[in-house]
Amino acid sequence: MSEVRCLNCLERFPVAPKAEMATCPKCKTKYRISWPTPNQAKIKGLA
Amino acid sequence: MVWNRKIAFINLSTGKVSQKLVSKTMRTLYLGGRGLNMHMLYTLLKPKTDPLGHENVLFVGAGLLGGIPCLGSGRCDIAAKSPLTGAVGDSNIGGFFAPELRFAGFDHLAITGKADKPVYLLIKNGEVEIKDASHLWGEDTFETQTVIKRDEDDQNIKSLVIGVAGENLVRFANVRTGMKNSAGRTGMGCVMGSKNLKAIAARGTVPLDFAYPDELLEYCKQMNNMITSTRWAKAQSRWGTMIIYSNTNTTGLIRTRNFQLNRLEEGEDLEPENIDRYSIGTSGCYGCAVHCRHRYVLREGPYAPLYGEGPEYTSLGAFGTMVDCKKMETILVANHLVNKYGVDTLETGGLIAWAMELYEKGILNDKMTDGLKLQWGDEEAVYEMIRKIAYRDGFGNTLADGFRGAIAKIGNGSEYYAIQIKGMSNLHSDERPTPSFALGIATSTRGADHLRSRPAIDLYGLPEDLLKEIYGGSVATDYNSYDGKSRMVWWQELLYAITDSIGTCKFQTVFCAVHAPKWKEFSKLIQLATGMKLSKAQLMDIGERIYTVERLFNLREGFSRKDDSLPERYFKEPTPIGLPAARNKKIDRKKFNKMLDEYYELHGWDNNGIPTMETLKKLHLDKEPSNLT
Repeated sequence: MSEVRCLNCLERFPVAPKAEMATCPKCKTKYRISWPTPNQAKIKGLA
Repeated sequence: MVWNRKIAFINLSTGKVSQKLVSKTMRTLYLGGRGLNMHMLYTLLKPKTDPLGHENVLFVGAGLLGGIPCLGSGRCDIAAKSPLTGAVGDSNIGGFFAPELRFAGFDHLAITGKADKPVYLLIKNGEVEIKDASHLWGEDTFETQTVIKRDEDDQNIKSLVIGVAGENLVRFANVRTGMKNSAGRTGMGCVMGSKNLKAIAARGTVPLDFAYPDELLEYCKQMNNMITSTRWAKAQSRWGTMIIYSNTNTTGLIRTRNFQLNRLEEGEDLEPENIDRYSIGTSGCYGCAVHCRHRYVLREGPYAPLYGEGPEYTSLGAFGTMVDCKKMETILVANHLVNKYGVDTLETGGLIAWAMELYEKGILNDKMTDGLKLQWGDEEAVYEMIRKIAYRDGFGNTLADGFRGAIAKIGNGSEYYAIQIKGMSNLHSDERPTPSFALGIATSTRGADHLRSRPAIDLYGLPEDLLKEIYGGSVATDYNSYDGKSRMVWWQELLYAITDSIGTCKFQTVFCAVHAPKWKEFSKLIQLATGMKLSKAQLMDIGERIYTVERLFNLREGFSRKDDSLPERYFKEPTPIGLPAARNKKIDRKKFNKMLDEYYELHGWDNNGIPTMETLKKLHLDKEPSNLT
């Protein structure tokens, strides 16, 4: 499972495959997600 | 041997050309590229040389590793005294020119004088020819390259060219090659224009003769695999350097409306993923496995059909967030225009954004702007200002002299709103939450600049023990902190002096990942390519020597500690929005000055930023050699 790093608290957290949204489990910041490759998530912007 | 390439000294006033080998001694002191260019800039220019006069020398330098098949080894360094700042003029360009120059038998060109009519240089297998370029004068940067290939009946010729901005002596005119690559900063295109030099074309078939070719090829494969396995490179391969926007705009680290905001609200259309609407594929520079540039097409709208390459994150900010334009199409059109005219995207965007804030505040009015309403988000005003700058038309003539010239003309408190250091505009990043970035732009030898030191990994929240291992001393994890950040900047300055001197891409170092190539890998590549054994400590000394020579040049031109500072707004105006780590942040002047003291000490400079005699002796700069053999 791919991970992203929260831009608010810098916590790394997993993102479900093909997910378009994700929430940092530590600080609860919500993000929109994109996928440069099928196995690598990246933060697109704030949700 | 591969390092055994020549320097061509070309006097455009007399037409005389002489050649000299670069000695191994000079290689061990300066490597090549930026390093050797900086040495020559310091030793061959007289103090207070007029940047637009015959005596200024334009240096073109391929990196020592130019031509190896990894790390984007096509980088070329172009230097002179800057007509924009009066300080070190230096800009680095990717593409394919530098390897071709090496294949033609040369590593460096030193061009002085002024031709009595437009000319271009043709450099081919050990020969340098000065050719008439009257028919190219007035042509844009794309057409100029096409015509040279046609005239020489050789589609494989690679050229460095200027556009109309360089011809018109716009002080931040750039030098370009291919559709996308630019030596953007410090006005090297203006220096070419001042010499009536329209282009430098190279073509060659002289082998490079690497010291250990088989081992080098194998190691280059390892380097490419290492780079392409990083998360950064994978994302960059897909969407280019624009991926930085995802982080900076989300966090609140991006200048918006010049310096009024630090995030573009409703800026979703500028997200890098949207380049997919226009992209027809990607391509790369010489020796690069990442391929970060998009080839894009605009098929609809008033500017269609339009083909361009890029855009970089720089253009996204320059013609997006900075001027409050929120459409990807605006970026693509403006990027194409600055490339066509040959003018620096960052300086152009920075000046237009500044002018828009002055217009908003009533410091500029319609009469002063030729009736052009410089309002936020007006892309047509942006396009028109780009044209007016390139042609020095009306108000464009004011901005074409850069911040210093424009401030002198406009006055009326306009200086406070100018986001520039040493006369050069800053990238559209907002460094108020990141003291390391702030120190880096303040101390850069060529003016506000992210490419001399930017320690991007400061944003990764890496553990302190890992940071200590990388930087060789204590560095705080928190990017808001000032602790240890002087060390971070100093170390990065030395590393990037090396990448610019071996001719590899900065994105393929610690910028992309902590385990990406650094000293050890560079040392091995140099050994396999040239046979020279240089340890990490020796490479750091070379980086220190190059940076200190640049410092000496600037000191000689009258720059001092007072110039290693930030625009006042960084100290006075806190960031208004963003995530908590980026919101309500400004630079603490006392802590900044402490960082600056520490930074000078790390370089071996005194509290005024002057290198001590002990440092000069250590770097063999106390008796600066006056020749190159």
